[in-house]
Amino acid sequence: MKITFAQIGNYGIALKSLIEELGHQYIEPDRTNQETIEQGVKIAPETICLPCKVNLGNYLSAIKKGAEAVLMFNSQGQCRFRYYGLLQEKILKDYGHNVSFIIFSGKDIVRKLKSLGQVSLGELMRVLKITWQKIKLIDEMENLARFYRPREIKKGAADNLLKECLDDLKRTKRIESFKNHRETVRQKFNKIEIDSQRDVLKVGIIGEIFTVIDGFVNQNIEANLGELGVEARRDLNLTAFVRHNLWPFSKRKIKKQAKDYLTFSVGGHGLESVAEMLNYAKNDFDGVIHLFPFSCMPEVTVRPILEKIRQDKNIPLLSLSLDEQSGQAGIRTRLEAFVDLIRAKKSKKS
Amino acid sequence: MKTYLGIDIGSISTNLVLIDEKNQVLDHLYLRTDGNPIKAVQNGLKKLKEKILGDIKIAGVGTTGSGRQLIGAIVGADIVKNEITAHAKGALHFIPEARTIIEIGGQDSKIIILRDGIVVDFAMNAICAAGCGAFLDAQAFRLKIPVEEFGPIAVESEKPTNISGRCTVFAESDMIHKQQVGHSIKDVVAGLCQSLVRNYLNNVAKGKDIQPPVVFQGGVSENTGIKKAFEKSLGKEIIVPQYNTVMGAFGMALLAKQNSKDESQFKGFEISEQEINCSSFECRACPNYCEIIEARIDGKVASRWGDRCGKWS
Amino acid sequence: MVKKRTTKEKLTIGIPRALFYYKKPYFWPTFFEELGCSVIISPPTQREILETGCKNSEIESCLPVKVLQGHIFYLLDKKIDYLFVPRIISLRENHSSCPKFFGLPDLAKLVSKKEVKILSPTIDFNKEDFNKTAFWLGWSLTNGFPLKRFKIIKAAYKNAWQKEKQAKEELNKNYLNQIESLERKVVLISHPYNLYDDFINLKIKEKLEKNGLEVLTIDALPFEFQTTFSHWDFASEMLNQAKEISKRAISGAIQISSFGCGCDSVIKEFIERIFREKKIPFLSLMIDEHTAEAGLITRLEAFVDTLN
Repeated sequence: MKITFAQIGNYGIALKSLIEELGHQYIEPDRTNQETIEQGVKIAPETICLPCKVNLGNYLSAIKKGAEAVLMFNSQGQCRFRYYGLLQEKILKDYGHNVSFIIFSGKDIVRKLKSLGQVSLGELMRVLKITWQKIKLIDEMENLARFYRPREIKKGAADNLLKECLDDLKRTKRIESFKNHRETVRQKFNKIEIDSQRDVLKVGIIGEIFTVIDGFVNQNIEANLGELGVEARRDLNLTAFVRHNLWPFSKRKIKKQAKDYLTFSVGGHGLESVAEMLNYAKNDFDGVIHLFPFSCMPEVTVRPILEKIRQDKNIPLLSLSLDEQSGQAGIRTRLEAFVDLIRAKKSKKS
Repeated sequence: MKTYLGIDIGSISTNLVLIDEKNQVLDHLYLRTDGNPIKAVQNGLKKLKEKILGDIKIAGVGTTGSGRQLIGAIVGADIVKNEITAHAKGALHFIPEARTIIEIGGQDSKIIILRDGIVVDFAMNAICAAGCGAFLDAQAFRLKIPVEEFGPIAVESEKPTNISGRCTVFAESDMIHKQQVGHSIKDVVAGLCQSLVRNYLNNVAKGKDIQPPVVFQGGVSENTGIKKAFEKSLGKEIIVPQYNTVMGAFGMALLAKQNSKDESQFKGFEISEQEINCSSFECRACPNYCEIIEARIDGKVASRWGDRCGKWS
Repeated sequence: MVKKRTTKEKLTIGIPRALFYYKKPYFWPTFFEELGCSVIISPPTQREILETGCKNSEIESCLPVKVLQGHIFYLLDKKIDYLFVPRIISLRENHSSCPKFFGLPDLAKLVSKKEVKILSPTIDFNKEDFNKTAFWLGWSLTNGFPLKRFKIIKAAYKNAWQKEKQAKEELNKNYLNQIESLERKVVLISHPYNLYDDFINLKIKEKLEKNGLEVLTIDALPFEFQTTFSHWDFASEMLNQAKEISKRAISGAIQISSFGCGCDSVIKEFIERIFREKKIPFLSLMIDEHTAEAGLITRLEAFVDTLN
């Protein structure tokens, strides 16, 4: 079967493995660009959140390339995301695209994928292992890029290497030794010439997971920050997401961290945003950037709380609400102004 | 004499400010961009050259505003900075204790919060422009009164009319209706000023801690009716400093001076005579499809930017 | 820490007439009063309340939460000991409420004064029966001998529950009358905090009745609950009720969404499908803090003209 999956950051590489190792053909949507979003916006309900619109744009592109089915995750969380699969299937059908949706959640992932691939449990475990290893490697590469970008001497060195490593991973079918592969990547990045004297600012990125992860939707904020001499850090990535969903006590830890400001989860990653901002403040980060799609329920709910933390802990906060109309110039200007602000604050402190 | 030039290229206006070593303003210009920032800057440079007597040497140039990259590449700017930093720098020079800056231009508005001389928070209008100058321009056109006369007319009013409308178009309908039922022009105009202030405070300034001294700058700060409406809404004194309409450019001139190196990259006043063209194309080398902007001076490629990978710039 | 009631002073509880109030409008005031507390309910929404709420809320917040904020500010101006802002997690087993409800007490804490405590019992039908939650809430608001307290709380709960039940039965009875009417019938579909707040819904019921229509509200329908695809308690109920009424002879359905309502953006699609499948004329309206009345009247009139 020709199966596609919505694009989210660079993780398509891992999902390609998943679908192919299960014996199907992976149809890759065109990389998300303005055209994708416009196509998605045309068929999506006007007031639905941006990630849903982007997904739809991806699906349309994949359907053009022959996709017959869509693999989609259901978080069974409290925000609208859990309805994406159902809603997207309905919308595509309404517009005459009869693609079948294979929706799996944390509870039935084994059953659904085993059935999809017609494989034994042992075989499925092997497939999931490869996928998981690739996800971890992608996150490792992105972490390294975030470190080297603001420090690189040659402009674009980190991003070029990142692209090279990702392309390489895409071509790799089997990972002989995960540890070796990771070490190789680390050594490659180590070779990047850096200016260790440069005063690099540290900024934490929090918010809604899709917006934080996907470079097109957030207008390459990490690369922009790198250019401005800022090392971006974030806790939200797929490795963490999977770990949190598997480990039953992870919510307890977050609740404890956020308890002075928010005592209950509000869906999505709202509670995490509060906990993460408090952590960044505690660890003397120079600032926090809050990213979310326009009208995102959990993030809009916690925004006043983040503002309060900003005042109480005296840590600069830039809160950006993104939608299909967000112009690139406006975001860049706000980023520049924010970086100036935190730089001035830091030098005043010292 | 060493001088420093600041240029603020906005969507509605282009401003130039020239200062000397002692931070005194030698000249300033407020021009309309009229959709052609390059022409506006060329025009500005030409005017400056004509007005300034004596031998001046431009020791540093800085650009800000939405066209800062473009114009920076064309004139050879030594420093390019965003509008928030530029406006703050300028205002602090005149009012070092300023804690709030309200900046309202034709199509954009900002609020800058400062404490102890540094910017600690800011916001720029995003979703809508109903708190900006264009709002007044539209109504002025409707009322057939030049917008420059709005101020003196508005301050005469003792009972400003309540005009609804987050949206410029809806406000127009309501304004016409209120006129028809007999509200005087001065009350309607004062009401429009209040509307703008209300929109500004409910959108851009929402949630911000506005503390005095409050500085008001930008094109709309010329309007005494708006100043009065702000004072009424906030219950605080509003300071409109000298060079209020060109403060961004003034700030850039200061920054150019602060960051000056031995040799400025300024390409010279001859730019005002050269044939400068800008074009753009979409690079399809990778799926990012970056829009590349190219500036040509007298046919030769002077500068290119807009790429993510560094291939063009 | 919860303040105990003294024998002389009555505790005053402020209930905002918004959002969660409309889920059980008779239960809460009765319960608190029968416990011996003084109750202040904010008045029905008016312009000043809405404006205050909007001024003090996030621009992207949904309208009902902005309205709630306005009511909270109104009450904080009065002399109250407690501000009632419950944490409603679920009102039906195996379901959840809108996630906006989960963080309301924490947001109320941000704006509340030092002298006013937030009364925020957690209401979760998945974790415990409602009568237990109410019992412990009552316990925290009373003092005296345990046996006497127990009796008072039990009686208060019984009376309050009875009142709520009676009101619901009235509503159902009214519906059964209305559905037999020979007039053209139109059903209004929305959350109770929109259906019963005439300022917010711009008196839409009245406007439709002026056009000679019998106006039913979705919440009045009695129904046999069946699980739907939705985990949201209100949505599951609405879908059940929509399915039920779509089988009857109604002339049209009008769905009212609030600006910024995330849940509506999803559920709307499926509600509409129910009526379209039965070929019942369907109108979707969106209300926000600056909905112009003129525009609404025009849309309603145009819709009514299409009904047979």
